[in-house]
Amino acid sequence: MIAAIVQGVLVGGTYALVACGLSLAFGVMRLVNIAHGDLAVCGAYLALMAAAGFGAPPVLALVLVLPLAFGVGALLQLTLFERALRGGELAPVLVTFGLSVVIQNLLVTGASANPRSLDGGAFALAGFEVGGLTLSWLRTAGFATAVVVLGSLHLLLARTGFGRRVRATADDPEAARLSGVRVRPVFACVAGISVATAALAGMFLGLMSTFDPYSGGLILIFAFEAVVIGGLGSLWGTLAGGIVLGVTQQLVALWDVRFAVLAVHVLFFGVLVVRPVRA
Amino acid sequence: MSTYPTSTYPTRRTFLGALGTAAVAGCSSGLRESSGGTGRSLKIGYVSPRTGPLAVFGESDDYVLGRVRAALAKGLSIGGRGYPVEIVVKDTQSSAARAAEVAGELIQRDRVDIVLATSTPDTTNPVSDQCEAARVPCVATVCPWEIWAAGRPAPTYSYLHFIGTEQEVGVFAGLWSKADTNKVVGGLWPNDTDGELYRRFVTAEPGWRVSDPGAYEDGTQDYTSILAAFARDDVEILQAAPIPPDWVTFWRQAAQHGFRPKIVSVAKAMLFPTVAKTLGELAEGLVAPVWWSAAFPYRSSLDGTTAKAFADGYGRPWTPPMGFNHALFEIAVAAFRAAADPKDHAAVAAAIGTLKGEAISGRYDFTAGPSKNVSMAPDLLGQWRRNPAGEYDLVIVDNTLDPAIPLQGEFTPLR
Amino acid sequence: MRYFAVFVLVLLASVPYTLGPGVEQSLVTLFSLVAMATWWNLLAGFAGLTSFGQQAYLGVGAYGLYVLALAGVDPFAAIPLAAALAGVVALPVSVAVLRLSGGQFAVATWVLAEIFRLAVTLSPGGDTGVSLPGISGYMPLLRQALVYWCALGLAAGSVLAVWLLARGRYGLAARAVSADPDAAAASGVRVARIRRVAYCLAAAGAGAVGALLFTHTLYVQPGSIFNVQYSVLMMFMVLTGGLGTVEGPVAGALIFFVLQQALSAHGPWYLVLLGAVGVAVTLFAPRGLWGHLGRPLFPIAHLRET
Repeated sequence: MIAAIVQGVLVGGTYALVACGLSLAFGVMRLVNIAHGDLAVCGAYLALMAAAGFGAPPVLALVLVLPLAFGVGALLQLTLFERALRGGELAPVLVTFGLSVVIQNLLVTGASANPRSLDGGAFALAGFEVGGLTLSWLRTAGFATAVVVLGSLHLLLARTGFGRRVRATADDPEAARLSGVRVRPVFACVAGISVATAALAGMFLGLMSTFDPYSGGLILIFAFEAVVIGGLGSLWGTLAGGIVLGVTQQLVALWDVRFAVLAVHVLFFGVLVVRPVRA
Repeated sequence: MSTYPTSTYPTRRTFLGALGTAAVAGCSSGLRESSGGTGRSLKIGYVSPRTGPLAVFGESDDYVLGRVRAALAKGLSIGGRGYPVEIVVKDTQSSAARAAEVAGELIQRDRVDIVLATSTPDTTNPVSDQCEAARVPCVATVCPWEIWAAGRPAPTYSYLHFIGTEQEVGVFAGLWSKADTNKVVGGLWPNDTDGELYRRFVTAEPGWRVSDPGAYEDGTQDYTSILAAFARDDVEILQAAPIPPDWVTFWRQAAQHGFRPKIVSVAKAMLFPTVAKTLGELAEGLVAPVWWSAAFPYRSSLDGTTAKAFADGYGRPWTPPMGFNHALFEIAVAAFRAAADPKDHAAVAAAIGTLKGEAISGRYDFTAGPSKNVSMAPDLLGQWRRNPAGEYDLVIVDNTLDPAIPLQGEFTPLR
Repeated sequence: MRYFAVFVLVLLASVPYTLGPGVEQSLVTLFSLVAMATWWNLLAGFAGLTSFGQQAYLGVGAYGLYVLALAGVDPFAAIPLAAALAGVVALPVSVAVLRLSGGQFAVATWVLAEIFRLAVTLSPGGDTGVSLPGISGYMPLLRQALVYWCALGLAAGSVLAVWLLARGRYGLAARAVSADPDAAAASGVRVARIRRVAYCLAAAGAGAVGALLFTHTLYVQPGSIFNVQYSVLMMFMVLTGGLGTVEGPVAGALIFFVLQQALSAHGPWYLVLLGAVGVAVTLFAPRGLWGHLGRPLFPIAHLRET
């Protein structure tokens, strides 16, 4: 029981790591990025390429992947998302969904549909014991990364000038513009950060399990559930949401594995029904 | 409309009533057959997963098809007539819906004379259903016969040549009893018919205690709870039947959590050298079923190639489906020869049911299977071992069901 | 115009006597695409709800048909029953999902499809597919012709039904809701009701398509029928054809069908193209091909502000 909860918290950290970019984009730009999961998968493929191309271990690949992902995110915001967000409620959904289709199938043409995984070496296969529990280093690292990423995002938004501009823009882009905030670069940065965290999460997922070009869909669903359960647009809420998902999954699995994922989806639906959610 | 004798258009729907039946019968007269006959050539349709999560099964297809095309380049001479042979290949993309669709295309557009389907129920079952409905002969393989035969009406046009799960569980159990264990078997069984059958037969096998955390979903990313259940029950024998990517995920997470049973027997996923390569040293000592290997003492009935030569020609590590996929073509050719008219679908289908012979995969016998239209193959066991070149080979360690195939090593537990 | 439509229908209905199964096979695919797109358009184009979860009702239709056929109902007679079942299932579901809109509605419906898929895999056999019972008595040619006629009927019936809905009072109210829910509510339109009707009808339409696809493929597997890829197709067809028009989805289905036939040999590249075209159309030509180029064949314009 306690083991299940501890493992659930660790698993939940991974969900939160994927979800925080989604949460950020929604909180600031009101953008539900359907392609978020696919961008995470792209991160994993980039790390795979770095490993195959330069023999770089995953940690070093980060140095390459993260700035690239940031750039891609900013570029997507300036070219696609910005225009889509002006086009009403349907346009962003359709545009990001279209983007998701493009990414998936580009990955299929480039890397085939065969499942891949990242080789994290001995570290990725090792575990350690705490109070009779065997925990995986990799999962623990994933959880710690989630907390660090969410914490730094929180500090960034709460304590810095950039954060103030982001919050002002999120509250009212027009007012922010009038008071001298340059909205476009702010949004571009936020989209960049969002995609960079997605890529980071994708690399962790690639280390923990296998991925293929179509993995993005389920990743998005779990991330979205974490965001909704944790309260839309709240970063710490997203972490809580991820943990709730992870723990639910582990506890239900104690009883029967078959119901674990189903329970998570049903919980999400329950939250939707019980709680008023307004965009 | 009633001028057409309704009895010649059998519909077993009675509730439509006489009027409805007559109407349907009326509509059905004058329906046009597929256009464009296939001429004199014999067309063979071949359906397999070449992309997607099941892609490892179709990995050797290009090589196998190349060998078969070369062997049949001169065509077939049957009853004094020469028939060129044409092979039409379709990819299922690892999807059952796509498998049904491409089978329909083979039947309706390509007008093939026989359909061959291979690798997992998601290919063999939809393709067999399409062939039954269209009354075109079909031979399938690489799907345990219990899954193929279950939930379908008794087949007349479709056939299967492969092993069975119950038989395989028996062979596994024989191996488990060779090692000194606490007799607790952990079941890593997915939520599909395959998993259900392993659960049923392992539970029915006397003398073993089963630890069953429940059926997991294909594509599951996190096995923590299953590993916890195995650790709680002190599992010393693992019996798994996952698809290849799930096995890689599970076995790595097992290493992270320090789960290392004495015997690990893995159906389905550990058939493939590519999976062993991905796992690296984690593959050492895993037990897998062997229904075909390069060491089989059999030859191709098309051109006499030995299993060894066939495997060596591949240029990459051989995979078990290679042999059975090749055997499909041998069975198709034997059926064409046995039928009075190879272009007559009903005659070819009936002819398959009379076949008894030997292919590169071993003996097949459609006259005495465990179920209608099934020919059962024997199942051996192998263990993955690192060879001096640093690669992993599947070494045969159990030949109970076909002693004609030589043993290559002794079974050793993982710890 | 109407005589022309009837003429085309008669011509298409005679295909089993003239062109045979090879052509039927392709046209069944085309007709099911037309029906799928038409019902998705009722949701997205008229009620302003983008669902990525219509595959949930494809699955309900297919598995509903399986249960009915298992109980001895003729598979073809069971198609309308399966469609009705999908519509009924959608009613309680709509209470939950219609609390949302935009991207949240989209993802929530997707999650719903996953819930349905997982629920189906709880039955014996799990993720392994099932074969359609009760079909072996049909002669192959007759079965194919019946599937073909059902597909034709479904496609034509769907277009007609959505046209009738769209040109009536309901259509006017739905477009008001789609354009601005708050303003519509203020002018006395019962927004929730409009959306609920659209959701349930679209579900029934998808259910019919799912059941039809099952009679065509004869084998259905949860992972295939509940795949989000179907929503991708629906979205692409409606967007390129023209969101919120009656002809748009038909045009979109034709475009997709031609692309698929022409480009499927190039593997996933055509899907890349599809996604890119979808994005481009949304951003630069939101009224779609028909909205920009075509003349309404099925006019709903007397109710549309021009």
